[in-house]
Parts: sequence; structure tokens; C-alpha cells
Amino acid sequence: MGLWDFRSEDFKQKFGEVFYYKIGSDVLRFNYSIKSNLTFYLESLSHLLLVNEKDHFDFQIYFLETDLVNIQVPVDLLNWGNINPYNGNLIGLPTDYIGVKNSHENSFIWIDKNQKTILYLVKNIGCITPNEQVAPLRSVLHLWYQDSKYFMCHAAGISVGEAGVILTAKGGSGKSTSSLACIQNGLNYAGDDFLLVDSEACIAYSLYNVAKLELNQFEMFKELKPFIENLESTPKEKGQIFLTKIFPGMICNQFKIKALLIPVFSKGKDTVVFRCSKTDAIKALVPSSIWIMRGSPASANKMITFINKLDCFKLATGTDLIQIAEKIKGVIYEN
Amino acid sequence: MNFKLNEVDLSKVIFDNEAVIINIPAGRYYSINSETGVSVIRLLENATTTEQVIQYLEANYDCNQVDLKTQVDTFIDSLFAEKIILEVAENEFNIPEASTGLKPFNHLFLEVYDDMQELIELDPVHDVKATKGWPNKK
Repeated sequence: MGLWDFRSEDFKQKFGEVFYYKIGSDVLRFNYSIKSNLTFYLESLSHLLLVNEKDHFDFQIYFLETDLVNIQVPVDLLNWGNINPYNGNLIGLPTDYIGVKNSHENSFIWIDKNQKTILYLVKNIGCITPNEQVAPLRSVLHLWYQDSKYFMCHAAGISVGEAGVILTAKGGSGKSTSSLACIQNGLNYAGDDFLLVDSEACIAYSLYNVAKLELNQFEMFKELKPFIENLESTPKEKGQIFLTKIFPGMICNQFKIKALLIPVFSKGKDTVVFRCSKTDAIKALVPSSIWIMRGSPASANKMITFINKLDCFKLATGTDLIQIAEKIKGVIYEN
Repeated sequence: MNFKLNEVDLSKVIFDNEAVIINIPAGRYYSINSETGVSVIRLLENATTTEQVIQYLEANYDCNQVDLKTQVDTFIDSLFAEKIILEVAENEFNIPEASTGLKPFNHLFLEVYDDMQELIELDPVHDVKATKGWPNKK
């Protein structure tokens, strides 16, 4: 079933650049062609870069743009009747392999579990959706970790020292606003949209140091406006800023999760925290995490088990940004 | 006719007074926000008929002021329409331990959430010409 011989010289010669990243507790070796310009694409992972790593890795990704490098997916593999319409998974593969076709962004992912190797083919970097552009490799990481204790969590992460909280809610609920309010007021930032979570040990791992806001929301963070990297794409897309550039040393790579918060906008100035039910937390976290990544019932059950271990609160955020940070810090210290 | 919870496509969590059910391929999730509704969901973990559900509720809840058959029929119809329950051949009804005294009956209602359905409407497979296949985007 090995469709590509990853060890052959013919295959290796397609790649010239290698980076090593710390992903969760693993080391990822990321291989790509010198023909690709991935500087912007990889920027949000820059805080996880392992500069001195040269040999050891736990899994590796070969990333190729098929417009630039000649590599083909065997046509007979893409039999339409054998593709799961929910998630693009190729049905009927041996258990050691995963194949996923994503027509929306013209990508194909092939995972060889025995060789701990992932081939990630995209037509070109421009085909990758804006959401995946700012959260590079999120589909690949979801697939790689889906049978483990880890899961891709649609949440923001804020910490003080080694302890922190996750903020989870659907888009537009205030995850990014709350997270930026926190980092501006001395708390550490692990992400505003996706984290890798160890569901058993309740540890959150940072993946992306990017923050995204609608252009008009930057009025609350005027001093950050000069750092918007994609001004030409706004307001159609959210403005992106890379926080390692603005707040060096304030990005937290991992923390112990002390509580789950559900942000909601209040109409006043003040921020209020109050307890909520586990079912509120499940409704806030599980559906969006599952459906963004096209996860399975098993993944959902893993998330539910995780939530059952946490204290859960609603965070009704007011317009006073300092209060948001203070309230979150309070929850971290009290739990 | 026997009905049973769809074990393949659903993820569910059941507490005493609320059950949350996620229909993964449909992109919809649900809440059954009453102790009575939760008890019906628990019954449907084993294949059960509508009549057996009514029989159980009559034995354990104060249903005097309730048009029980209409309530149960409507609730079962909602669950079936959302593919939360499926029709099965075998009956597996297990009579739960009877409660001491009749409990207050809560209206049976399935709350449907479809606010995140847009997340799966970007179909990763069918957003291309099927005859050409990958990677020929529409």
C-alpha cells in the first residue's frame, strides 16, 4: 500500500528545506521544496521552531505544491464511490494508512502510520483557505492525532505561569478580543482559535502565535493596527498579527488547564464570571471543534470526557479590557 | 415498531436533567432539557416501542393532565426525523427500576441547534467536478 517510497532518492530530491517544530510533546520534521515560498504560511508556527534540532523527530510531513513539483496521486485511488462525503476520507484503506481528499482547497493528505510520515499535497499555496493559512497544518495535525489522547480544540488559551484557561465558543464570541486583552495586560498567550489539547492530562499546547480580528475591532487595540500583516485582504478577511513579533516572550507553549470559559459579549463596561453547566461547555466546545475538523463521534466523546474533568464558567465580557484580563487571572488563581 | 438510538453517527452525553446529542454527519446538535425527556432517551438506548415508552411514563410520572400519547408520538417523530433514533427489528426493552412515587412530568421537547451547520456545508468532496476528480476545482 506504500504509494510513495519516502526513502528513495527520487522522492527525497523533491525536497530541499527542513524545519523542526515542537508540536505538543512531539518533534515534527517539516520537509518542503526550495521552490515553495512558505515564509508567511509558516510564520504562525515560528514560536515552536526548534533551531538546534537536527536528527530526532517523532513524525514528519512532506509538503509539496503540485503546480511546482511533479508528483501525482494515483487516479484509481480517487474513486468517487470510495470517498466519505463528510470528511473526504478514502474508505477501505488498511488501518496503517489514512488518505484524505479535500476538493475545497485542492489538497490531498496521505498518512503512513508505520513510517510516521505524512505527505501533504496542495495544488499551490494560494489554494489553501484563509482559515488554514493562519492555522497551518491544522487538518494534518487533526488526522495525525485523531486516534490518540490529543485533539484539536477550537479554543483560545491564556495562562499565568504553568496554569491557564481555555476560552471556547463559536466565531465572533470574543475569544480573540479576550485573548488580546490578556496579553496586553501581562498574561501569557497560547492561541486565539486552535490549541492542541491532551485530553487525559488536561494540558493545552500552543500551535499558532497569530491573532485575528475584524478590522473594526482593532479600534479597541489601536496600538496593534500597524502590525496587521494582511491589510490588503481586509476587511474581506480578518486582520492578522503575529504576536511573537509584538510581544516577544509572552507566548506560552503549554499550560495545565484549570478551567473552561465561555466568552459572551455583555452590553456594559464590566466583566462578570459565573459558573455554568457541563452541557453549556459541551455545546460551546464540541460541535465547532468537531465540524471544523470533520471529526468523528469518537473524537467528540474524547472531548466530552475532557470537559467532564473541568470547572466551567461563562465570561460575560465588558468593554473595559483590563477587567477581562483581571477576571481571567482570578479564575486561574482560584481553580 | 422498535426504535433505538443511532449508535453510529451520534455522540451523546446524558446527565440527570439534560442530554446533549451531536449528530456528526448532519452538522446539528440537540438538547433534551428535562428529567422526563432524559429518561425517555435512556429507554431508547435499548430498542423500545412507543407503547413501551408510554407504559413506562405512566408508571413513573404524574401524567394525569397530559395527553401522553400525543406528546410521546411527537417526541419520537422528532427524534426519528433527525435520525437520532433508527427503526430496528429486535425489541430490547428493559423495564427500569420503578421510582418511589410518581415524579412530575415535564414536557417532552427536542431543542435543535443548527447554528454551526455552515461549518460542514463546505463539502470537501463535492465542490469539484465529479467527472474530473481531484484536483480540478469548479
